[in-house]
Amino acid sequence: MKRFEHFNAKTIDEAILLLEKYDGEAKVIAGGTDLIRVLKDDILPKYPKAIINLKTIANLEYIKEENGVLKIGSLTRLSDVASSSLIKTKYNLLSEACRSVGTPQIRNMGTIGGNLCQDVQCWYYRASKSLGKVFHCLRKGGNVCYAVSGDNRFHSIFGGKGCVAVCPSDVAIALTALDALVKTKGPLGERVFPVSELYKDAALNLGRSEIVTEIQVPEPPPEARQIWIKFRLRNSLDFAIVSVAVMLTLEEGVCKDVRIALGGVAPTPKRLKEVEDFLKGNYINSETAEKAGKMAVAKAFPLSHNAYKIPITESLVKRVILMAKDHRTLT
Amino acid sequence: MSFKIIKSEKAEQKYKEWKVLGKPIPCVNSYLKVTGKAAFTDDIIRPNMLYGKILRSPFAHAKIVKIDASEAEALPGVSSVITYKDVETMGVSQKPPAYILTDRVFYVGDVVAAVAAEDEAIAEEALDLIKVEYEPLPFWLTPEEASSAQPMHPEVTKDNIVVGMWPPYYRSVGDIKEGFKGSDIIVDVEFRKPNIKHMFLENFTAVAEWRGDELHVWSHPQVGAVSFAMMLASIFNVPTNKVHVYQCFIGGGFGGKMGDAPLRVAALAAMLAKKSGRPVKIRTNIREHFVEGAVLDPGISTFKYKIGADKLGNLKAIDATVWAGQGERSINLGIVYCGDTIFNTYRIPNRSFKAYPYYTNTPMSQALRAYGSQAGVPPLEEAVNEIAEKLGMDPVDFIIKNGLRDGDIVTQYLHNDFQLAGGSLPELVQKAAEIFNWKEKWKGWSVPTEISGSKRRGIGLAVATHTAWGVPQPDRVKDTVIIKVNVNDGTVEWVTDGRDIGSGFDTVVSQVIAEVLGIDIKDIIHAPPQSVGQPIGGWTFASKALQSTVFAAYNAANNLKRNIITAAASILNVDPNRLVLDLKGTRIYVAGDPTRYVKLSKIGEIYGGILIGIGSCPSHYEGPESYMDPVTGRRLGMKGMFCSFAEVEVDIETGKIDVIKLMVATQPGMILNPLMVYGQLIGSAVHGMGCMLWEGIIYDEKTGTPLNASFIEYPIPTALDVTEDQFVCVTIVDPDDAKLTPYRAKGIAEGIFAAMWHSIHMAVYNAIGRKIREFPLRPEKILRALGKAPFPQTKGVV
Amino acid sequence: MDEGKNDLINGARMRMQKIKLTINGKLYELILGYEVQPWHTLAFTLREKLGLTGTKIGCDRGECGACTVLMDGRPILSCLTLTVECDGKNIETIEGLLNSKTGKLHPIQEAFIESGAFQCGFCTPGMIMSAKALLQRNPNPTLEEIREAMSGNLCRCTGYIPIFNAIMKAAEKMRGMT
Ligand SMILES: Cc1cc2nc3c(=O)[nH]c(=O)nc-3n(C[C@@H](O)[C@@H](O)[C@H](O)COP(=O)(O)OP(=O)(O)OC[C@H]3O[C@@H](n4cnc5c(N)ncnc54)[C@H](O)[C@@H]3O)c2cc1C
Ligand code: FES
Ligand code: FES
Repeated sequence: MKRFEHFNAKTIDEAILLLEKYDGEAKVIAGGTDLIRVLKDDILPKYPKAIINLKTIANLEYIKEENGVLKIGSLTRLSDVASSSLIKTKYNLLSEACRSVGTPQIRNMGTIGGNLCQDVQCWYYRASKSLGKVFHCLRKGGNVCYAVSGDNRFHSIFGGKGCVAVCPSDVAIALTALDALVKTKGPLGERVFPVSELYKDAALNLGRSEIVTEIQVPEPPPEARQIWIKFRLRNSLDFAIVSVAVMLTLEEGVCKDVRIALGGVAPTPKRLKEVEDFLKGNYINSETAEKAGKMAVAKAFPLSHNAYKIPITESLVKRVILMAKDHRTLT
Repeated sequence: MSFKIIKSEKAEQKYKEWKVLGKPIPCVNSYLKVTGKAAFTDDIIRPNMLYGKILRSPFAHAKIVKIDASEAEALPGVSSVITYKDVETMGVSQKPPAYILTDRVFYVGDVVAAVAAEDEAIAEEALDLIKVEYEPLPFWLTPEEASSAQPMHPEVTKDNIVVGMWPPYYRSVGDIKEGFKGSDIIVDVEFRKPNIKHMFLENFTAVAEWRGDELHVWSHPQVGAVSFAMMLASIFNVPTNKVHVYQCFIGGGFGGKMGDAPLRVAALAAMLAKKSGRPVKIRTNIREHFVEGAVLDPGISTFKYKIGADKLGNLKAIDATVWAGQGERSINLGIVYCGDTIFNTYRIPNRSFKAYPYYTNTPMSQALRAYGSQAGVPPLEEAVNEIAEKLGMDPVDFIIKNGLRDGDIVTQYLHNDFQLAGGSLPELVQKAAEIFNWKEKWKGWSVPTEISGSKRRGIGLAVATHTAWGVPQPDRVKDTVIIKVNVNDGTVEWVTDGRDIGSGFDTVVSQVIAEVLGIDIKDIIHAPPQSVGQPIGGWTFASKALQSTVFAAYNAANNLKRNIITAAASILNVDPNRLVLDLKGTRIYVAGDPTRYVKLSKIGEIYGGILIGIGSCPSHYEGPESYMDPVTGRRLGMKGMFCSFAEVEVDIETGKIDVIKLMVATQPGMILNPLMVYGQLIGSAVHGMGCMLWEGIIYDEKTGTPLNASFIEYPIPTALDVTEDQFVCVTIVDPDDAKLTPYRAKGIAEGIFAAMWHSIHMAVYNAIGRKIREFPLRPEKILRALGKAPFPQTKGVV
Repeated sequence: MDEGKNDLINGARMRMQKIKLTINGKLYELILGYEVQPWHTLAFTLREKLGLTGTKIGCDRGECGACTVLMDGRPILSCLTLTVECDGKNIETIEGLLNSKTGKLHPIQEAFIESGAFQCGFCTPGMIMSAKALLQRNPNPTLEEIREAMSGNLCRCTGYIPIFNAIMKAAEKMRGMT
């Protein structure tokens, strides 16, 4: 890591002020599990002059329920989210997604806000300066995405505007299926908007000096069934090759409401609106589940190395729906 | 513990005789390792020490046209910068093709320059300030490309064939033409392997300090400290006795810390230290592990094996060729040992092996858990399996018919032929198959043993043999051990220049000495290895310690004991055979009459105040008489015998493989320490599972950059990927299987790795009925083989 | 060096800010700008500045767990933690495990030895810290819970199974002690 100045912010406003002052040359740090790696690998086109610590801001770590809305402070550790009994009972999808992130140590350090705001994992973008080769890609102001014509086995099967990296955050996928909102604060004040809008074209859709302060999750109906599947090579440490989050409400075998989100396959969390529309009002059985799987990937257009994600996605969508129907959890 | 030890009667008898050997004695460095006090290289902190960082090449092959370090040197806090220009001025001598620094770079990440500064951050900033102008040259990663490329090292070879240590790369026995003529069935198999990495946890690190013209280096080489010092001496043109190498604890090696990478990092630190006039530490990270460290020799390879058998399933001939990308340099030992598998696994009367080791633009290749035989097993087993399948034979029966056995002639590379003394694949496989319940599970080739939804189960097995002798060593590395007894309290120290890498070498050698001298393991220590004042003897590689270091220790202890007893006998005037050495009691007494004794200090006086025993290992080639079979008159030798059985479950919708059961079995001779043997077996099995399922370096073919230089994208198994009931380790213990070593034991860790990974491969084939002639068997490969995803256009790097 | 950076270091020095850390029960006060720089990781400070070299740096990228220490009782990665952000924190490292009065090994350390739970030993300090946090929180873990708790500590030598056995054994020993 190279040198930088460091500030322990006492308030959100102080952090915003510092960000403004450094005008794009400062970075906020939460758990640091992503940012410190980014700094050590020295991949940013401009190494930040200052790092602003958010952990010293009081009252950003909390899990509470208010008027049927779950509110999580953005500095809340993933392990606390995962183990909260409130979240386990009512928002299990989120609990499971958090539990599937990285390793126990990463979850003890990593925050929910940091998870949503983490940088993409594309191995061209991330190629470390300490290894020698740096790819000056689109994200760094270059004019090509090296993954498109290179090894893109972990990249998007649903295209992308230029950059084909996938959204790396597991939490974002679960929150998308839960129809959650994020609350942010910036120089222009506070905003609240759907999690899915936090991302645009494999990038964060945040102002330069905007900070995520809270996650808000509407309470799902008590009968809603929530399932999280993360497909990866190993049972720990890996990012998702494909992940699926589903929220399904049944009435006598018929789908009353459903939300499905895919991870690992697109630059942003991918809501399967068409599939949801098809399922709503239909009986949930192996045929409809299978059809849902097929529909989920009907519009996929894989790159040179990642077509294998299509059968995986298809199969997982089918499984997740059947698991939700049968009230089964991950085996 | 899923560890089965099946002992013969003879073995039981031996165990009864032993006091220290055969017991599950924990590693002798245990205390240091669990308290964090074991000093690894990075734990060395010298007064006034600087931190070094390395600038690495963005090109896979290039000439450095211009390099300007002046801005970096001017950065406050920077002490020194070195580039290839300093090599000459510092009197660093070196010969191609093994450079420390030169005006060419041979792979992405090759060393361009290094900086020493007060703080790591300043050193990193300085790297950015070094201005380098490159002239990129064509590069290649695969042997196929190498064969038609311009020579990489025209000064030594015109055709890109690696100038290794031991050519030629061609061997044959019998007449393959005749062999194929006599075959009823002939198959051709092509197999590919990627580059695989060691992925130990401690990355290359060195601390160097000059005290006048003395060079002091702290490092973690797998070669002994003395040999390492010799290499440094030749680089810096200084006398060997002025190079003090302190061999620190080694945070995993598996062959990857044999010489070159630790040496280069140490040499860079020493160059920076010299220029700065202060101690320098360089610690590399996991990214650098991929470009500083070696890959398995053979590297990216294509194997073409043609094999023939008669109708009854007797193998008749094999014609094996391997083309390998060996990286920027290699000693090629792996690729030639790869050939050993075709000579010494099955009884095949006519055999030919050809190797084409090519220079390619990746880091050098070296041993990984073994030298070459692990790479040779999958293609051989694929070929043999195909024959067995075509003949409709059960693979167990096939091995029983064709497997190498006691008394067979072994043609091992660089050794004279020898007659196998103990160990037999057919016997091993038969016993292991019973334990695995093979006959009950086996449903035939490419038939799943169970189907449930999208899950297909399959079983498989593989066999391997591996050297149990160590690599044949030139005379300069004839292992020697010195033992010293402290006359005041009878405690014992032993000295040889090698460091345990975790295999238990320290512990087992200590056990052997303790057994001979009749002392407790607590009363013996291995002196911290260093180059000055110590003998060569502890290279920890090639399954050799149990043979050669143990032999040296055994001889040293016996010499010492004999000297003490002889002196005591003359003082007490009794038959030496009646004397008991009681080191703990610091005396030697007459058996049955402890009142008649001599003090140890008295004996010490006779020998000039010090009691020392020296022993070395007899050379492997010209063994003593006892190495001859009295009946056949043939020279005797040993091989490790290994087999592995696997049961897997493949999800044909997602391509995911679960290993349900993995059983490894071997005939280790006697087990000198069950804790260590179990540790080696299970460690190798898990390592091999990772390699077969997931591991392999993924390169960007356009630039030659390793893309997955991390523990995230180079997926080694985690704690959640193994369970106790998955693994079974079986040892069939009989002293007759290792007749040629003291205490009848032979090395096991390397061969088990070789056998186990292909058993998974065969099991996957039987589960899904598709041949995938490469590894790792990642989901994408399975799905492509099943026709569910197209194959990408690649040069075939993975 | 560019001006900004000079200012930055001097600025930090002028403030004479102190970082107070409790490490293995002992309070350390480190002066920012001298003993600690903003970019120093906890792993670096522990090892290179305080001589507590028991904590290992493996990957230096948050991937292997060798640098695991406990912060306020939870396993964290010291290679990804900035020392400046540890003010007021309670850190436990492998050096704190020995019983300071008797010099005796901690039951987890004993169990690691008896079970052959390490070979090269490089992952061991981190492993033991993760195990300690687990057993503090859950004195009677199942094998599943052990595997989960250790899933952020890589080991290339042992194949993990001897480590699981050691933790089971340690749990038994520790239950026997209270
Ligand atoms: C070995 C390993 C495995 C991993 N596996 C996974 C995985 O499986 N799934 C997964 O989802 N992630 C994974 N991660 C990524 C991991 O870093 C995140 O999961 C973690 O939650 C990030 O949180 P943090 O608080 O540490 O973020 P930081 O590193 O502190 O910040 C990350 C980024 O977000 C910005 N940021 C942080 N907080 C805010 C905020 N409140 N407002 C605005 N911007 C902010 C920072 O400036 C920075 O750019 C893994 C990481 C590692 C090292
Ligand atoms: S060194 Fe910190 S996780 Fe590897
Ligand atoms: S003991 Fe070597 S890495 Fe774990």
